[in-house]
Amino acid sequence: MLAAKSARGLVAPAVLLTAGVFLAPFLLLLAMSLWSQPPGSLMLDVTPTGEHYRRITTDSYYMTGLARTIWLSLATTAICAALALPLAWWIVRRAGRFRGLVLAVVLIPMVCGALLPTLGIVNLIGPLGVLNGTLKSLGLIDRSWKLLGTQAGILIGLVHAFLPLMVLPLVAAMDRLPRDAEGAAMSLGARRRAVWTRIILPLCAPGLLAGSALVFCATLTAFVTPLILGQGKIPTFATMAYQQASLVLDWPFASALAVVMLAILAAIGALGWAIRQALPGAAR
Amino acid sequence: MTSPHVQIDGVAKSYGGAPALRDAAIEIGEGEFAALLGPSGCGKSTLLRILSGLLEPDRGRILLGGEDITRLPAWDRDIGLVFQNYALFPHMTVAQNVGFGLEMRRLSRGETRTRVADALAAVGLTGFERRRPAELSGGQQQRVAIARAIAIRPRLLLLDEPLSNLDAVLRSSVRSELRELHDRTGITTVMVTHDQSEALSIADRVILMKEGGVVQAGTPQEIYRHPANAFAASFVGSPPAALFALPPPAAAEAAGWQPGASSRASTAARAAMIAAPASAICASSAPCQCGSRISSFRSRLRSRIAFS
Repeated sequence: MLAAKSARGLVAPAVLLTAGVFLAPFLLLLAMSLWSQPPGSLMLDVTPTGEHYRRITTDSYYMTGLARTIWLSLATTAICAALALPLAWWIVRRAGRFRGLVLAVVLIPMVCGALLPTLGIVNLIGPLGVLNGTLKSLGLIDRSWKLLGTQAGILIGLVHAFLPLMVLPLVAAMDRLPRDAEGAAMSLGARRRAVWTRIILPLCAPGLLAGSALVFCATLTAFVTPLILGQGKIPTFATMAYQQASLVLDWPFASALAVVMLAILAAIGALGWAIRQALPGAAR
Repeated sequence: MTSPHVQIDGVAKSYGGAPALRDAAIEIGEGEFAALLGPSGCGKSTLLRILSGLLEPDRGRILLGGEDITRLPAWDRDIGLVFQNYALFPHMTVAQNVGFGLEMRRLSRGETRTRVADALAAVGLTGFERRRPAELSGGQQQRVAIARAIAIRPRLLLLDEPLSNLDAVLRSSVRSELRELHDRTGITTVMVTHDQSEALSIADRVILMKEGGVVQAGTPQEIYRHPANAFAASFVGSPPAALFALPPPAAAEAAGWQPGASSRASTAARAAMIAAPASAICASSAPCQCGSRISSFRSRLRSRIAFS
């Protein structure tokens, strides 16, 4: 058995790394959000002030952006759940030998990063893109659907990017469904609807919850997708923080925006944990 | 005889071209305990799923109490089904599991509580209402599954390999308990098993199946004493009947085997040929050369000869 001392030695590199590249910047971020930057200067004034938070909560530009970001996240989560439930069911129950292939296709957006798929979607939904081109040549529409630079366009991109985060936990949950549970329910008089609402969905709830938390958090902090598909017309919290940090160079204010985002993530995490505890069978 | 409670009429089912059931015809009387017996792949489980309504047959009819239920969905059949792996709902308590079928039938709360208590009492699990399946032993889980199936007061109870997941000690006690439960409730019961001793010891009637068809149906006594063919003889009995290619008549005689030495076969023949005393079977895989000699003493032995 390892002595406590050498065990600590084994953990040390990971702890040091975490402390150095995560904890320290995080604390700096928290501190910086309370600093200020006098107008016209790049020097930081380290006298603590809540001015940035006041500005975020009172300026309608930021509050609208915050509301829009949360709305986009909720909508993406809901759409992903609606798409992923049947998809995961199909993968687990019907795909058979195509299961690996289908899972790989679903995972592709995750492995190629955010930029490439997003640019691909620009080609699909742009005014001269595949979608509008096809619909126009079929004579179904006269003028292009305006998707680029709208919330709908961003939603398409976000759903595409984060669908795997919903599908994977659901597939894992559905794989663990007890065999024959549906058959047992049906033999006891449950119609398909009752089988889903009373058996399948409750048993998949942990997977659905995990997927929802992942998609919501990923969407809330998504940067590339809203930036490109929003064409700069639809500011979200992440693009606002980017603006402040990289264009305005107001790091303290950008830090405050980031802290607000992190606070929302923490709240979502706590909420998810609370729901998980309340789920039947959570004790094990 | 009044019309049978369960009538399986020319039911066939194949999976991707491979037949699992070929025109099976079975009748089960009201209140009977029947066993579908056969090796794996004989179609017995397929038949059970078709009876329960979870699987639709390609051809044929299923009648329950004279009513054609072939196209009736599983949830309208009132047939209790106990799976081999029990298939309890892990997110529900024992009481919720047992009460599930009653909830689907929209029974009142009080009625549900009474029936759940009765069903749990019938399987000896009173006091386990609030437990969850994961907190129970395998044997207890099975009792919950049985209680859940009988709580709906089914017209037919189906048991899929009920003893296969139990240890040897439990197996013999559950065997007699299943029989007692059946005798007490009077529910017509069909059990699927691959274990002939299980089938013979528990059932009123054994339906022996092979390759998707019924080989023989009858009381355990009939199956054991008068196996219909070589397969029946080899599958039933403990130890199973020793089958051997009958030697040419000359060799048989040289071995001291006197055709017609006794109207019921000699002691030697009985021991050598088959455990079931009233039958003699030639199971030669080559074209049998036993010829007329065999057939003459076959009739004396009142046996059947299966040329395979």
